[in-house]
Amino acid sequence: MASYERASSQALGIVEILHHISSYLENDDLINAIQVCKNWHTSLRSRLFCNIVVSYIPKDDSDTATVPSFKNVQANSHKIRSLAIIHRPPFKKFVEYLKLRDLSNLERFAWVRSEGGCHIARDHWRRFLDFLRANGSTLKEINIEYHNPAEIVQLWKVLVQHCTSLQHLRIKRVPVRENDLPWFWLACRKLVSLEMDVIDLVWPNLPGLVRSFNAEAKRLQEILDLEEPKVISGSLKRKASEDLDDASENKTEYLLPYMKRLLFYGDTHRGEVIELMKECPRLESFNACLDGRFFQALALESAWPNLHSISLVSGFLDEDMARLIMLLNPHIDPRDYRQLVANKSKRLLKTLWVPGTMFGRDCLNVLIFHRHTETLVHLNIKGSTLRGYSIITILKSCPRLKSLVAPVLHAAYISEDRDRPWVCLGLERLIMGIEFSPNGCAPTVSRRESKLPTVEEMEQDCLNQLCRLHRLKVLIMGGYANGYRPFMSLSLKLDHGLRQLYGLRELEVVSSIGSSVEEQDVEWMAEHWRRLRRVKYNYCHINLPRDRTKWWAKWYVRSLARNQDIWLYQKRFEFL
Amino acid sequence: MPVTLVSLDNENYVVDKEVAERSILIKNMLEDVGETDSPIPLPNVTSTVLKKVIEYCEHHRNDPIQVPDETDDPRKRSNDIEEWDMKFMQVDQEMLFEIILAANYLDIKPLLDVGCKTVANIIKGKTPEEIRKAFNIVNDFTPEEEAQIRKENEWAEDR
Repeated sequence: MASYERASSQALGIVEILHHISSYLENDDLINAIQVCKNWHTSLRSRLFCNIVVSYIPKDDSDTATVPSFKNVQANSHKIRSLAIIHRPPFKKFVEYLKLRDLSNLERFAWVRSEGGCHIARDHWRRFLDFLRANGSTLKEINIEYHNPAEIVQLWKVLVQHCTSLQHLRIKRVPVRENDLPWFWLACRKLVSLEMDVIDLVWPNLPGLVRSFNAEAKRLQEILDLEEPKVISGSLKRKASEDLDDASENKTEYLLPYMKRLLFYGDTHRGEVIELMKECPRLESFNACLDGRFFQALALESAWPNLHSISLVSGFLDEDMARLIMLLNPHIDPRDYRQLVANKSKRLLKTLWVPGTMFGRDCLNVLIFHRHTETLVHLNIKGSTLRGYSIITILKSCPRLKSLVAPVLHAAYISEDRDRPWVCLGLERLIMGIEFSPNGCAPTVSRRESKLPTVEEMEQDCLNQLCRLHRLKVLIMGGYANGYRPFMSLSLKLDHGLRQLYGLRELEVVSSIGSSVEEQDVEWMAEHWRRLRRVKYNYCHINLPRDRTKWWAKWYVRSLARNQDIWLYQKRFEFL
Repeated sequence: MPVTLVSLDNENYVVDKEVAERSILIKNMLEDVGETDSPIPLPNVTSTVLKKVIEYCEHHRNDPIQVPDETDDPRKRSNDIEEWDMKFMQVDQEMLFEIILAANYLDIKPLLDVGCKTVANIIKGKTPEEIRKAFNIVNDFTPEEEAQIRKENEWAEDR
């Protein structure tokens, strides 16, 4: 015991170690941590102001409970690394925070509106631009969800002149008009990630524009006396020169030479987007709504040697999607295994987010043949036509999966494959209906057994697989507003083996529909899944308060009986 | 070339140079001294802990040396511990902190990361009182001070 006290108090007494530990803690846990003892309070207090969210303004002066006061924030300005202002009435109060100065370590800034927010006043916009002029030099990430057409061109100029470290830009409902284009592209030139709407975008003759752009950019740069952006770190440069054969000579020819991630909201059925993508030689990830013409663009072999994430909002037929995945490695014959292993420039998918696609056997076969299954981290195939054994195949062959959104699977398939454990032990989000109804889409002819397993057997086999997924945060098996038709799924009840899921300590959201839940079941969940904040069961849901004493469990069960919804948890604003 | 490491309690451990060089402290030492057969004394590490640390370094001998990369996400996460590391860290708390101290002393950044993540995961979701209990920490606040701190920080709580 003596040596235990020595080791822990010695380690926790070293400020660097304590800081290191606290760097993995969110604000809520930090607040608890600074209340532990004087030493922790002194060491960790400064970390509290790292992340400021201004999202609620008290009704009167006595109600100061939810937002740090302007004075308090200004006094700790040098500690702030990220600041988010969620704009809503009364605007005056929020605009006050745009007067913050000396934010010498600010890295991320968001200025977005809450639901139902309105057009921004010109005066507020000017304050916002002044804020960027004063505090922009260290900013790496900006998130704006506003617009004021009259003043918008000023924004690009400010970004070019004052936000010289900027890497990530998200502009929602901020239109880019033709006259702004040269400044806009100059502001985007050094970016690594760009998210934007394209609905209002007018991009006439982009290729022609690109050709004339470099001359224009040079002219603007001379006017401003700017240097080439310095944001690119050494490792990226190295990687790029390895990956892109002629990168060094062609680098300046591209419009967005450093861009790694493009995300477009809304309708992108336009040639411009593809043209724009061609201007991003280092593209790793894109999210858009594209149609068949896209194939031709992608077939321009090796246009993006680093591409590993594809998210498409638009729908595709199975064979079209399969062809698209195949085109990622156009020169490789998937049947030649040695060629596949030897080819280092092979692109492997990490994200495939295609909920609207009729993802079927063709796609699955290509994924397996090209060995993308080994690298996939995120897979969303909600609109898939795959059933039964094919979905089990995914669970058994994608060891790195962290999130999976899949169509409904009948538990009988899980039972039939009970001897082979799922390999995706790192799963954090599993959104997949698991159906127990006897008349559901069960396998008609069982492969190994002459009759269907009983519900008890299916539950047991299902729990056996689930209880190994220790990283799960979100487990939705049915009954959630995600488009699944109502069906009987796993009963999360103590007398149905709930205790087996004891190890899923990271669970935050659970949803299922089974036989009616009792008070002791909910209490058990709250006690063992300490991070749980949302439960949905039999068409009722509850948001759990942080301080979970037993009263809420009683309240919850009573509300279930009355079929009511309770909202107790206010979701916090999160950055990009 | 093998390297001999000597623990606090004079136990000798012979390991490959590339394994020993997972520790930046030892790496620097070897670079300073050059080719040598003489054992390296590690007076801050006991044999039980050293054994554990060597086990970690053996398993991660082929990992790329971590280079701080500015393009990485600055927001750190404590839930991305590898499965092997997670099993490796399933030790009693005394050992956990011994490992952290050793990793800090020997300058083995990935091991320190994993150790600190594990401790952070213990802290997460706990009340101040529960944290004190978990780490045997004495509450040295007066009730007034405690109330004051709670009041000061109420704004950031979810409600």
